[in-house]
Amino acid sequence: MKWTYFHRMASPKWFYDFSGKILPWVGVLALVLVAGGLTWGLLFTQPDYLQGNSYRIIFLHVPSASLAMTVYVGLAVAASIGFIWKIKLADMAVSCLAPIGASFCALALVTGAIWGKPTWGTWWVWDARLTSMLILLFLYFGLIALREAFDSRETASRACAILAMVGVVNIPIIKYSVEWWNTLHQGSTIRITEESTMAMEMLIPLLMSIAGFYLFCLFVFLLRIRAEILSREQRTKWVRHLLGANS
Amino acid sequence: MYFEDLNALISMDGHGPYVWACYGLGMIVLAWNLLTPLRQNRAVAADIQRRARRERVQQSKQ
Repeated sequence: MKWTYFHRMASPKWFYDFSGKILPWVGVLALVLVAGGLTWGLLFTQPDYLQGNSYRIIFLHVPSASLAMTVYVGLAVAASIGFIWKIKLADMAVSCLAPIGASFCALALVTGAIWGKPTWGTWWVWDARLTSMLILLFLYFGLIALREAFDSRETASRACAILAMVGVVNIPIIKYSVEWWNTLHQGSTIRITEESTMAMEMLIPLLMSIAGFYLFCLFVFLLRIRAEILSREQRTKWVRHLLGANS
Repeated sequence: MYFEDLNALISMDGHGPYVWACYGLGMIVLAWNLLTPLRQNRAVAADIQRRARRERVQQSKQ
């Protein structure tokens, strides 16, 4: 990849223009996939032979849990780019991704607890998967709080970047917790390298829902970072021109 | 649809409250993610425009 390309992508103005172009497509596709996947899973699939209808929670729980982890990895990558090359846009991405990831992490935990009650007979156990996921939520909260704790934006972004990079160690722990430790949580049913251990009829709406949640996340991330770009670049000519504030 | 009627859909053989609670919370999270940036965007734009108006007024006074 050419370095010029990298630098152009890192320019807030270029990113604002580019994201404005793809935004409607991402939004429509996300809406179709989320609505389709959830409706299909909720209303049209057969109940699970073991868990009955409670398994329908999977169509929300798995996408949000998966997003919570992926968003953290994305956040950590952005944090390291911002830390090493001092790219403003990367720091904006870190600050925009934290609340999105936190909300999906909380949703995964709560839907998991609600699912646990009829399935395991308990809302919560302190086992490896659940505890490491709770730590992820605290990492997100830590990132949000840490940014607010500094007056200087540079110091805040450096501190957040370090926390984000250190915290990434938790991600493989969450991922492999169901294999490394004896846990109440079931193993993964979607496999990439081998055949998934799930009926096609359940798998398709689940994959739709996962794809929809990822696109939704991209959509709200773009919305957030666009607002953040306007806010941080408000003294530049292009933003003033864009908002008709040129004098 | 898998369920025979509305009652079956709501009760889901006793699992209804769990499933519907999750879907309700899910909708809240999606809505929050959607509305927060839109509000933020409006606030930032209004702020920039207000400041520009103020600057214009000051300039015209000078």
